[in-house]
Amino acid sequence: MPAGAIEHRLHPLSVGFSLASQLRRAILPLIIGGASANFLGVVEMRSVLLIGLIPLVVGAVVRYLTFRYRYEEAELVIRSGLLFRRERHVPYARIQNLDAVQGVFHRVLGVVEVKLQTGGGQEPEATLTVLPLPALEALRERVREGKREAAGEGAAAGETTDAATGTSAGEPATGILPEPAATDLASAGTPEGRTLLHLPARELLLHGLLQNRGMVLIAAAFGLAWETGLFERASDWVAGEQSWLGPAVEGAAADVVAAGIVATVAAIAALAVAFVIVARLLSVAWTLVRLHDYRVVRSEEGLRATFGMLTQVAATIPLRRVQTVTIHEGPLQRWAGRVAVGVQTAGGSQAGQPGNADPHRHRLAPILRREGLREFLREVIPELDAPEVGWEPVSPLAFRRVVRGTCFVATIAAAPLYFALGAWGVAFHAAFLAWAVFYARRYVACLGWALKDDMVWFRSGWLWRRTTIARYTRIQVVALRASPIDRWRRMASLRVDTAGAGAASHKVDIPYLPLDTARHLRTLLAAEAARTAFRW
Amino acid sequence: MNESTHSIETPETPETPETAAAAETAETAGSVDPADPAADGIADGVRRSLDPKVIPLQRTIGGIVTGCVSLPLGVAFGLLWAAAGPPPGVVAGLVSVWTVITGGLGWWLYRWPVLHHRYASYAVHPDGIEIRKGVIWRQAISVARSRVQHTDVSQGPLERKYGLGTLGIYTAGTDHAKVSLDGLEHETALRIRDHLLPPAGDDAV
Repeated sequence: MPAGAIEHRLHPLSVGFSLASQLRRAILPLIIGGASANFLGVVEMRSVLLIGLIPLVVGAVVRYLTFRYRYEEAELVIRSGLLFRRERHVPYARIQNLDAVQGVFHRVLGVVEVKLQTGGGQEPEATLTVLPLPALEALRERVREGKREAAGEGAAAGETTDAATGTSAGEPATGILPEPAATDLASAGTPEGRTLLHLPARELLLHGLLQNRGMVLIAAAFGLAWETGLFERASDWVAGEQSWLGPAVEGAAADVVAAGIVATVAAIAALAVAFVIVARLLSVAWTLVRLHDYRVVRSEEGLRATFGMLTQVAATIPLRRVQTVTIHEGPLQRWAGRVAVGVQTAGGSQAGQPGNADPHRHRLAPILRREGLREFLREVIPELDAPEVGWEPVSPLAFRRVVRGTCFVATIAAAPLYFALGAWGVAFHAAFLAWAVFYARRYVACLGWALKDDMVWFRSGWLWRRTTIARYTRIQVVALRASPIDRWRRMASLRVDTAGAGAASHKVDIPYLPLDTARHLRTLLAAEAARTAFRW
Repeated sequence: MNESTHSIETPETPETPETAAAAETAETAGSVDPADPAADGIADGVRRSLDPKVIPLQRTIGGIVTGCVSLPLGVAFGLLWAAAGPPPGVVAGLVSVWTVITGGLGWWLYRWPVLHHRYASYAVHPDGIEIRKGVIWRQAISVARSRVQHTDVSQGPLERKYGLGTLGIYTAGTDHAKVSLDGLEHETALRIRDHLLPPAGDDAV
């Protein structure tokens, strides 16, 4: 409701948080600059760091002092900047996602970082660092109301609104804000709605085991250790002259050499196994902490995913913002009867920067029982009806094309083995080729498309299979593409472009279609897109 | 499987726009909605080629590009000759390399616009536009009018000289966030733009 022109400020602690985030970005250049200045004997490193800090502190204070936001009738107005003033108007109805992230410090201090995303661009439209918790609730309430009004207008104008946003449950829009007493996101303003997914510790454990997060963590730790020179110290400590471990390590190495090649291979294998086990354990630990108490709730405002033990995240996705849905299945997941479901929304679905909610936008359901998939999908895409999808294959000539490519790669890969192993190279080459043929066959068999319930379905990948669903109403552009080989074989590929498909996300891009099928599909999908109106 | 019900048609022979246009005229002539105020002649679903003036335009650009490549190359070779005085065999080699590069590039940039023009076409329908382009990698792109976020028509200095314009169609998509069509007569580009503009009051975003 119109709050007049009352301008709100961020929480005073914003200075600290924004300084901290600036520091994280600036610390490395500062240290490098300081170190080189120190090396050149110009100034001491300490003073460089101090001088570098001053603009950052001033910047943070200025940012806090100049940042104001206010709630207008239909939009959020954000003013910021001292020299270059900036006033952003963000209509409530255009807000794609509203994400709240709470790290450990945020929670102790009872504040939250809020990210608003609208349709354009990959960056969040506005980042509010940081708000007190009640303010977040007020903001959510505004967005919810704005949406409801927009949906009402849409229905009045007789447009094709999605069933998802309609059905406004009769919650009175009086603007009475719930007063959350708690200082964390999980308990603050838990939306009234049905829980679609809740991951107990057992599922998270399984998720951690199936998904190889550990490698990423180890790589990150490795990089960090490298940068900080920890390695040299560690190697000194393990094998250095003063180290008590030194003789032991040398002794072990000597033993291994003495024991011959079998023992060496065994030792390396044991190390590899240990590495894999450690990686999986790390993965489990990471998952348990990061996705602790993972919950997806369907409420009036859409889907809200809340999770996290140390850093708590509450990500809200309005249902009608969902552009495409992708089902991920890895070999281990399939073996365990689990799948993952990701959604793409139009607002900045780019994976990337760790620490924010974005990577999880990809996996709305990180792990889900196969049996529950249909039901879960139906909650995300209400139009979904089909119990089973009848997959259409790609061109029968596709295998021939794919197998040529894989055999070529296999030959290239086997070529060095001829040099290294001589006649034995033939055996390896044969094995590689067999694998190439087998892989090509499986790969082509797994390619499939379907039109069902006014949606395009596209499936690809053998071991890591991904299935993407795009509703006709979400189709932006339909493009048929034919390479010279495509034309020679009378084939074409069909790209169905939607909003919000990130660079790495699975897209509806169907290769190796028979030309006539591709043409027919393009005609049909273009007509369907033309027939319906697109609403963000 | 009933293709005739859809207004964005796919002719069977995309390689020959002339026959396709003829076939399509016959097929879709009746599908134009006379009640649509925007269907002012251009939105008749007829497959049209680009303005032939695009060929001299692109040839002019090609000539400039060839000059920009071959002149510095010639100067560099000349300097090398003057400074180092390599044996006659090397000089002959340099001259022939220069000739091959200049001639090849020039010929290719002279020939290419004809091919580009042959394989590029567009058809404006009451509810969208269909664009074909590409000589080696052929593309056929359909953009529905309801998905157009905004459009623009741009004109570079050379295009202005030839009276041509480039139409840019922006959608909310990702790979095809901008679909552009160059080599249109400026007047035609403006007409298509006006046709594709979303109807007033339609809050698509």
